[in-house]
Amino acid sequence: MTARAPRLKCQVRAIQLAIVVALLALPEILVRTGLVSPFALATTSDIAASLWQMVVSGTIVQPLIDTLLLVVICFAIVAVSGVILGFCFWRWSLSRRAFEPLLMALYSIPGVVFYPVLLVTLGIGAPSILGLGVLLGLVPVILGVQNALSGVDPVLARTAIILGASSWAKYTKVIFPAALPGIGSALRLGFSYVVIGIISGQFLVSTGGLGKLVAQYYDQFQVADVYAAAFFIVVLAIVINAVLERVK
Amino acid sequence: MNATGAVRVADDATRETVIAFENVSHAFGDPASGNSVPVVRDVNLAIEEGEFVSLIGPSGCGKSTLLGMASGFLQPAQGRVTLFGQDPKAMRKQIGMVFQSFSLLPWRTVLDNVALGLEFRGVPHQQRLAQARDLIATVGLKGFEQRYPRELSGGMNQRVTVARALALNPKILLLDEPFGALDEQTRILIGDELYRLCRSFKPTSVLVTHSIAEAVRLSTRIVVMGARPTTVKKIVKVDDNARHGAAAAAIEEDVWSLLKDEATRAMLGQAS
Repeated sequence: MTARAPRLKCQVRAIQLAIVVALLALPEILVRTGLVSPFALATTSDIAASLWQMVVSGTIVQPLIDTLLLVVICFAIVAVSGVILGFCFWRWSLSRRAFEPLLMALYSIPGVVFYPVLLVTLGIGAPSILGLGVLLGLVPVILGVQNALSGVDPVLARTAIILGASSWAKYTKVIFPAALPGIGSALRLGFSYVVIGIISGQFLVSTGGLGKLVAQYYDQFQVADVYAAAFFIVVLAIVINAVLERVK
Repeated sequence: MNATGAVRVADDATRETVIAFENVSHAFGDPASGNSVPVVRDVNLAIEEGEFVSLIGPSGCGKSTLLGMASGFLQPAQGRVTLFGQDPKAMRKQIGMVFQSFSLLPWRTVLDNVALGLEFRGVPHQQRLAQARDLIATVGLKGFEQRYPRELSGGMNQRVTVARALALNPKILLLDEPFGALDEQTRILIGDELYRLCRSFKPTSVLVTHSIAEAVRLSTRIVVMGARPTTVKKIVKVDDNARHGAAAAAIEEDVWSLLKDEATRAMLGQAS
């Protein structure tokens, strides 16, 4: 086992590297051989060049700040309200039973379909983009927190009560810490949904941020720039995921 | 109630009743059929100060339900359960409890787990750690204070829960199959230790167990319970000099003869 584990890791890394190389090579080959029109896809070298240009000229900076700012605000809203609502649904089974079908329905449809409603009620701009992020991120957090709390052994709650814990101490010192791993997973999932919600919101409403950047280049037929911005978002997602993994 | 006198201090006739079950009956709703399933029927039992009473009966007969009532987590459908003549919920400060399942907080060290109850009751930091250290030494875990529960064996973990319960110096100790998940040898060792601890802390104790031998080694009285809905079949007294050897074997035989039919009934009942 001990001898095989590092070898397995090497193999995984080698395959991952091969996938990256193949993905980078593919556009170059497809466009240069004429299999795909250069209006649909840019060559890897062109994408790299325009990404470099975006970074050195600083055009990427403001959209990046706009996106990250909204992601942070939105995640704060989702995390706080998701944990509170998840706790309420867990604590009062009446509310859980009443709302569960609705939550499950919300969970299984693309939240983007509510975008027109958000646009009309919250207006064009940050509020409706935040609204979309909340709509996408909140439900998985509520359900995840509720599940994490249900998973706590009831004996722990009884132990806390018998040992004389106040209601507050029971939750803060026993039940929430016991549910923390599950709550962490729920928040991470919620964060991913928030990022998706914010970037697609910015793409749709085009007032700012990375989503707008992609939409704008797309409207201007700047094919290489579209892919460069998209690639930047992918890298951002990978970085954020790695950071969250560390935090956990 | 005269026949229920304990044996530990024979000359004390005016012993206080600590835990009283009076005409207690209980039923649980069956979610599948919507019917109510009676689990406890007309139990009368008075447990006096300093006694160690074992409740023994077939699996699922309702013994733990009685402990649930004594700790105030369950309300009897009929009759009443009192601790020192009062509602159990109001007397929780006097209760120490040990459960079968793993009930330590995995993110806390042994020391912090034992100090948990003292922390809830507002004992100052240094004082509660000192008290917890003493108890850890008492249950034979000196040197393991800074370990985490996952680093200890099941038997050691259960000692920690016993120490945690005793840390509050409870007048009542409720033990819900505390050693059920341990292997037989560990079980005997911890049982002996519990006997020693109860001698020095002198709580009034109720033990729910499936092990007749364990009941004989620990109890002043063994309450033999019937299959569901459970009732008190018989109460067997155990004298201190009858915990080992031939006398113990005779009591075990006696209890088993009472229990055998009930256990068979319970087993067949569960199969149908």
